[in-house]
Amino acid sequence: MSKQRRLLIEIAWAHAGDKGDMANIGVVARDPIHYEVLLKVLTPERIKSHFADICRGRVDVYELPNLHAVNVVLSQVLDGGPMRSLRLDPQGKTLGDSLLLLPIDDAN
Amino acid sequence: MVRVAAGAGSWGDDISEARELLQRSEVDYLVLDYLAEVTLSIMQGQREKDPAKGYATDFLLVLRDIAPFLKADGVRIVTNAGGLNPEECARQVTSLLSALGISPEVRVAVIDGDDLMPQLDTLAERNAFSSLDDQRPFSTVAKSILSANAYLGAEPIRRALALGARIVVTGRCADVSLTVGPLLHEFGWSDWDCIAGGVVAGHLLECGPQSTGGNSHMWSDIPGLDHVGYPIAEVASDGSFTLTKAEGSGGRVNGETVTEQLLHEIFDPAAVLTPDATVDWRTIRLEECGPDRVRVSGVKGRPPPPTLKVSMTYGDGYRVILQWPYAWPHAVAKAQAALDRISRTVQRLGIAVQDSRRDIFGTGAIHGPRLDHAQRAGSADPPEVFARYAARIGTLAQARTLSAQQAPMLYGPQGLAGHIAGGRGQVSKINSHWATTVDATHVSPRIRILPRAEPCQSNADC
Repeated sequence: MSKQRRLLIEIAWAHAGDKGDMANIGVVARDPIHYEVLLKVLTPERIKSHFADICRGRVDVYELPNLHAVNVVLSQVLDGGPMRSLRLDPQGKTLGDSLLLLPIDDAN
Repeated sequence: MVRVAAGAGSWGDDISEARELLQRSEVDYLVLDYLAEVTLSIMQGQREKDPAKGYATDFLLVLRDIAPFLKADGVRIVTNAGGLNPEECARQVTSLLSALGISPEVRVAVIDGDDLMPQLDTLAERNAFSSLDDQRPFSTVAKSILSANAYLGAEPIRRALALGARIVVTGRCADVSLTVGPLLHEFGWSDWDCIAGGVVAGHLLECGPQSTGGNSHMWSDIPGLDHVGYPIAEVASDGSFTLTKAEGSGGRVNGETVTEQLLHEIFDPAAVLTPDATVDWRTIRLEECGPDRVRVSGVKGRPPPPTLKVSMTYGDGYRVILQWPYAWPHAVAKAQAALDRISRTVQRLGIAVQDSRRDIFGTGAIHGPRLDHAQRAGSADPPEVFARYAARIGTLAQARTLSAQQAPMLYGPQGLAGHIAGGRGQVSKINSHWATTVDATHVSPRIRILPRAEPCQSNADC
């Protein structure tokens, strides 16, 4: 019986926004005690590989300890931007949920 | 204390929200933000078809709806409804006010100058424009540019209010400046921390009910989600403020709903750039101070950057979307076959497709490969679903009222994919079929050979 994998959604919630071909995802610890885990899990390398199929640019990660939040900024991730995108979610409104699918076991 | 409230957070918002808010709460300034980044592109499309368009026509519907509040000593209104055509928008506003019999003391100001098209070539040379997305040089799009607008700041709005305007119509300005303008007018701030507080207030108002529980990760716990109250900022002279919402409305204002909007569309939190101030988001202090009340304080700011953001639109070809729903049995195989068939048809017809994608909705078309993690973690949720509401309605007016409810679903549960500002549901006229029988002898077929035109004598006759 293999142990089920834990995902980021267990310890955090997220909100995505768009600007041009960039998207930001605010990731907030559900409980402040998980903030340290967030910082450990959310490295630019991991996030870039999680979004390898859609993110053609860089990934930046910023800390907001006052809100127990991490702001993830993805560049060149919206198929050229909402106005020209062919995707079902041109503004990337679901990218927050997509990031919450990140497995977190390896970082613990 | 100055009470600034949001009456619209994006184009397509329910037009009755401003009236609902004014009926429920005391408000000094009502700010209506209609411009997302994509909105100017949509407006450009409308202006191409009709040069008198290119602004948020919804604003006129709102004004008509709140007519009783439009008085010389009533609420003051600041909006970027002008979009790409602020002058025409303001002209329509003044004729509407006259038609409604509103006092001429309700003065209307229009702010433009954001339109850079007249001097674009010179500006491009002097500024070495490159794309904020991928640093591509301006030369790659220069020939296709259709519009170019700078994000103006709060100062022109302050000046318009100082000139006695009750309604200020702007073109492209920073969303937060709609709020900062009135605050500069009221408090005469020159301190960067005060202005920074105003910027944060503006950020919490600019998307309407996204700060009061709309489009929230907590959607299943938010009361009254079918009609979320729009936010109100009660701003003190030091730039600190309390965020709340229209009295007796749905939604919720707490640390989490406010945090959610604070994180909306920001990049480096140490330096959130606006034309009014550069703001350090890490200094924001939140404190729940009563039911549906969050106090925001401690915000630190410094001077804005010397540059303004510019939003341009350019002609970039066409997009075609074809959709075919299939059901059990072999639904996925059928969808796959349909996509193979259309790909071959595209080839046969010699259509020069620059880029295309094939998606089968319901099989992981949105989250893509990341969905494997959910399945491995034991989630039984389907990958994605489509909620469809169809109705037959007797009058066109009511059909349009319903169709306008597509966009406000943004403030329903979070994770609505494919939301584009101002989008409406499809309305089509029904001409229904009605069949019966008639006695065959009551119907007489008639046969006539029609006269033909004489053949041409010469080319000149034809």
